[in-house]
Amino acid sequence: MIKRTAKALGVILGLSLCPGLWAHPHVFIEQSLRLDFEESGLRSLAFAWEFDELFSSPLILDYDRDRDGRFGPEETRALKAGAFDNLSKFHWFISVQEGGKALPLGSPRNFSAEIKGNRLVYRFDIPMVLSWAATGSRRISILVYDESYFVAYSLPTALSTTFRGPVEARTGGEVIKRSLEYPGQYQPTWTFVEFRRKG
Amino acid sequence: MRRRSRAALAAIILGLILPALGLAESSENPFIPGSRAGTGEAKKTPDPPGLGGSLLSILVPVQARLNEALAGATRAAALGSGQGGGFLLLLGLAFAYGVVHAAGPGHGKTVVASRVLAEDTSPAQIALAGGLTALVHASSAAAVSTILLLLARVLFTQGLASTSRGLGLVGSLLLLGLGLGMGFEALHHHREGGGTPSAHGRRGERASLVLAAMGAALVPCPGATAVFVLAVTLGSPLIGLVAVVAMSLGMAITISSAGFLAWSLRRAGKSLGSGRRAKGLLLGLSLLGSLGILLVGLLGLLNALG
Repeated sequence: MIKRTAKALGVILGLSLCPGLWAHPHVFIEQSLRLDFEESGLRSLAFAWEFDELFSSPLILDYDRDRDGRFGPEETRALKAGAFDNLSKFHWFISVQEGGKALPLGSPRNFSAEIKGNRLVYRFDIPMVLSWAATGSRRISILVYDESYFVAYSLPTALSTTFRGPVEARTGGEVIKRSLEYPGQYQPTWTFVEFRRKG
Repeated sequence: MRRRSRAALAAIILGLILPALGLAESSENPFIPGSRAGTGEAKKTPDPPGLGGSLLSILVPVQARLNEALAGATRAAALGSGQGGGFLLLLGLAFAYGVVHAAGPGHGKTVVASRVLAEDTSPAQIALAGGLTALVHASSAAAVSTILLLLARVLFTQGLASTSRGLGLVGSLLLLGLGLGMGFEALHHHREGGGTPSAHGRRGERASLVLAAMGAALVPCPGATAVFVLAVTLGSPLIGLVAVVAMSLGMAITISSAGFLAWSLRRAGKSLGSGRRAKGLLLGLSLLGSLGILLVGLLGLLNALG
């Protein structure tokens, strides 16, 4: 009986260990996105990443040195160097495309961090230069995705995507490879944005 | 036929698991300097996860919710707001988190399964191997965290990354030695006509178990580390320690299950009798198990050396 149970347990849990479950997030990030427009067009993508409490706590311990619940300029600089800049190796996990072609992105600017409740929040802007369409609208797709699944990003949905500036825009999700096997946030999904100059 | 199909099923599953989990053990925190390498370029079309994505879609959101609930329960227990019920909730959540967390890459499943595949092992020894591996993994988290937190001049996150890399190097070397030793022993016994390397003796078996556990699990478990550090920052290291123990019990179940899976495959091989083909199959399983451990050791070594 014990041996049979052990076998059954082995097979069931073995199946649950199939490669699809390599995904093993240690960081969960709720993100929101704001697209900033100026008279000449799109100028930057402003991201806010809110980390889960378990990942936040050691970073807060390390970098809020004076324990005042805020990151001063020196603490912010140290936090950026110690727990953000390394993401340049991964292009900050951010891709932007138009018509299937990758658009050039600048390095993050205006990095700031805050402690919201018990969670760490990063805010930063990714500069872009994208003028208005001569006629009609432009459509770009944005993806924030860690292929190794160490970091699990929430999708920037229509609810968490906002706009600033003289723009009329709409947004939605666009699944890269539609398959029943990869639903949810582990389906690499582009957030598309269609925009044109207001008025 | 039934035995053969069972063996084939177990072989397929193990074939998928062993290389997969070994490869995946290399992932490190990308936020911390010196972590895994990247190209610096945006991926044009990121690849979706491999097989089993539907299971993934069930387990990962569960893990996300567990992660949040565990943080809340740790906070409540550390601050005493949940009283006795809160403490029990923390124990239950930490245990469940351990089960789910250990299903991801790493945590010693590959090594335990490979060792069981390579050598005759009793169910009690498998449970012991799983338990020992989980205990080393979680104890390492608590011990390394305590030392780093006491060293006020060291940034915890960076100290953890470099210590994990160092312990990963030591563990990988242990696994390389163990894998080589097991492979040679399998060949030796096969030449002597035994086909089954079970003549370690009790002391040898124990040493092999400890080596496998140390090699597989010296690197601190990131999940256990996170919970322990949260509890310490809230002023309750004891609560953190208890949560880590509960988590390691959960991990032990998952890790042992990988061992039981390999065990069912080896038993299916043994049930084929004592003919030449059966001996050849057992030798193949033993070498596959040794190779699995060697592979994990090698990948760990490459990862630790950057």
